[in-house]
Amino acid sequence: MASPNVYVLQSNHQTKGLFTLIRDKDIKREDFIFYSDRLIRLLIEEGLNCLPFHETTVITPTGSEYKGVSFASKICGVSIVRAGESMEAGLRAVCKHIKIGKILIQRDEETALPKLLYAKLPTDIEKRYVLLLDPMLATGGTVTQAIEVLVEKGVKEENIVFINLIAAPEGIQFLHSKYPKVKIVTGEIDTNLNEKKYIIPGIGDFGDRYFGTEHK
Amino acid sequence: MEGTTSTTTTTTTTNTMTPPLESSSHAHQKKVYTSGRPPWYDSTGKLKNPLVIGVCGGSASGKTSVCDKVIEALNVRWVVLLSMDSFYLQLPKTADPGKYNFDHPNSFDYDLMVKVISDLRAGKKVNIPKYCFKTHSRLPHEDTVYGADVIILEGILTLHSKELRDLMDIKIFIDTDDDIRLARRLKRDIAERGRTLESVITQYNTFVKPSFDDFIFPLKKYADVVIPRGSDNVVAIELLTQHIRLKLKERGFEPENNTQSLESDDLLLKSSTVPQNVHIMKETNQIKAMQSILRNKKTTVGDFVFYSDRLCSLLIEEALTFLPFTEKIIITPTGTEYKGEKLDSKLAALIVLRAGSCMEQPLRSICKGIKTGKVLIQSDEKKQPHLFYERLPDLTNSHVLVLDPCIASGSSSEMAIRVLLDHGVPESKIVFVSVIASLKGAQRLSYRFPDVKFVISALDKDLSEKGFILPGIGNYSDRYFGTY
Repeated sequence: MASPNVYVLQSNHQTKGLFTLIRDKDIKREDFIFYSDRLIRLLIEEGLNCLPFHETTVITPTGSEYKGVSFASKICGVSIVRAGESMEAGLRAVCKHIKIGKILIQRDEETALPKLLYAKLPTDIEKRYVLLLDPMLATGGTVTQAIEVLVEKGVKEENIVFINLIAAPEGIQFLHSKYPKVKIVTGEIDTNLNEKKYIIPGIGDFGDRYFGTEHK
Repeated sequence: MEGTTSTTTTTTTTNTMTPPLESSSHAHQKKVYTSGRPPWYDSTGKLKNPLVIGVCGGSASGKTSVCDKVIEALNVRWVVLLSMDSFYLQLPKTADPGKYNFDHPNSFDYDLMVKVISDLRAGKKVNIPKYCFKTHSRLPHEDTVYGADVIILEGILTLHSKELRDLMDIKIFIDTDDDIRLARRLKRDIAERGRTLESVITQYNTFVKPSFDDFIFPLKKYADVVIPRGSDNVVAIELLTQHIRLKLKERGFEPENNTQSLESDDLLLKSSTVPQNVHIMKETNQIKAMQSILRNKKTTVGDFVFYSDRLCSLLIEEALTFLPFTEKIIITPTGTEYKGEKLDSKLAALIVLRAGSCMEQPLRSICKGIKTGKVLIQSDEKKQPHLFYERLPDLTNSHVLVLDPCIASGSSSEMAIRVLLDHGVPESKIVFVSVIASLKGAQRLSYRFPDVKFVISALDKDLSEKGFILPGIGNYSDRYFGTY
């Protein structure tokens, strides 16, 4: 997708193979977790690439100079409970000692609108780049609410990178209609949402599948 | 019985790191040869066709001395010298060794000899049995020998089997006077082996002489060259050596010192273009930042391990994209079809010790339960790689990821790939994964193995005289394991 501030993971056999595994309704749960974790890690690496870098020169053990770059200084993660927590391990595997905040938003059964229930964030979050984690971008209602919380805390809109595995075009559109400067990093963009607001072909309820709380 | 009891598998590089292959009656007189591996490929990347020489002649005719002199004069790097003595059949349990004719054609395993020579010609690894002259049976342990430029088989009846003769490019018969041979035999068996004059003469008259007359001498007619007087015949040896050199040249082997073959490749590799089968990961800022940390000499072991693992995870994921995939349509939990792909091959890994083990943890976190082989390759002071250890899983029909974080000169990587080829893994099924490679090393390898895929995260321009990549990363495993 060519829209600005949307970054889709480069598709290759390998990522396609991973998506095929985790989208399959018949996959074993342990495999679902294993292959999701692998994809999440790749997505987080991709998300980190949206952050600024400084140029730097280092001396190698051979005594030669190497012109490289160094990471941007302050970042933190924020996961949207519950499904977003499945991405924390991947984030920690890539960013040592990273601070991670949490936001819990639930859809109100009656109004179908998202409602903030809980937020615990790093105290200096306004000075940080934020990697916002939620595996699915469906309608975009929940994540937009989460971004609202972050912006209220003083985080700059352009300093937010929202990382997800699968996005629906409707969700991307909705999110960017509210916060166009937020960068969206996604694994694959699907066809559409169905009447129940599920992503099609999608993956089902990611949180339920990851945490094993499906009731069939 | 034939006098010499040695089996010495040889290449002409002198080296002290590899243990001698066997202690035998006269192995100590020989140069210590090693089990290193040759550059099997010519300058166009094709497998070279080695020269097979058969040396035949009566007992104590001086076959081994002739071979030694020829090998010395040739100065070719990779020569395998095999003795027919290794191919004695097991003595039947009922047979009395004292009354058994060891000089008879039926005492030898010609099928095995044919197989070994054919395999060596094809550049394959072979196992040579070890024959024990005390128990007259094969020892459980076998010697491993790899393909070479020149393969010499010497023995009393090497020209006996037509099938074997057909595999030989040059057939030599050493024609030494019977009296001289008997005199040598008497001297050797009495002085060196403590036998009595009588027993030697009896054996000679019962077995050695009749067998020579009946079976060995008639083989002379098959020889291309007959050398009278054996190793004393300096002119004949020189002529023979010249002929072998000529034949080798026709096959694309150049007489060489230790580095010449690498240099000659370099002439063809002057350009700085990245070879087609070398894939460099896209250098994102993240990767560049990780490179900067890994390359920085001030980086602590903890950080080095962390960022090495992180970078290698990405690198291995990237390498997996070069495996074959097929279409697979699945149904998602929403009941919809998804057109996907799935891996369409078995997968195994080969870790090149020690540095390759730095990549093992990321490998295991990506490829659950992957079968993993290991090889230990060390370079000697002449920068020649030697294979010290090899333990491989079943690689039938598998693609293989080879893990080694640095490709400097490429010589140990070459050996690692050769090990796989020897075990029947085709080039097209090998993906070599490396964090950092020198341009020279990458060019050299891709040139020798055009169908192997090399997946790396950085390509550095230079190589120091000591063989370090520049600007490089230093000694990867020392930094990872904290052993500097």
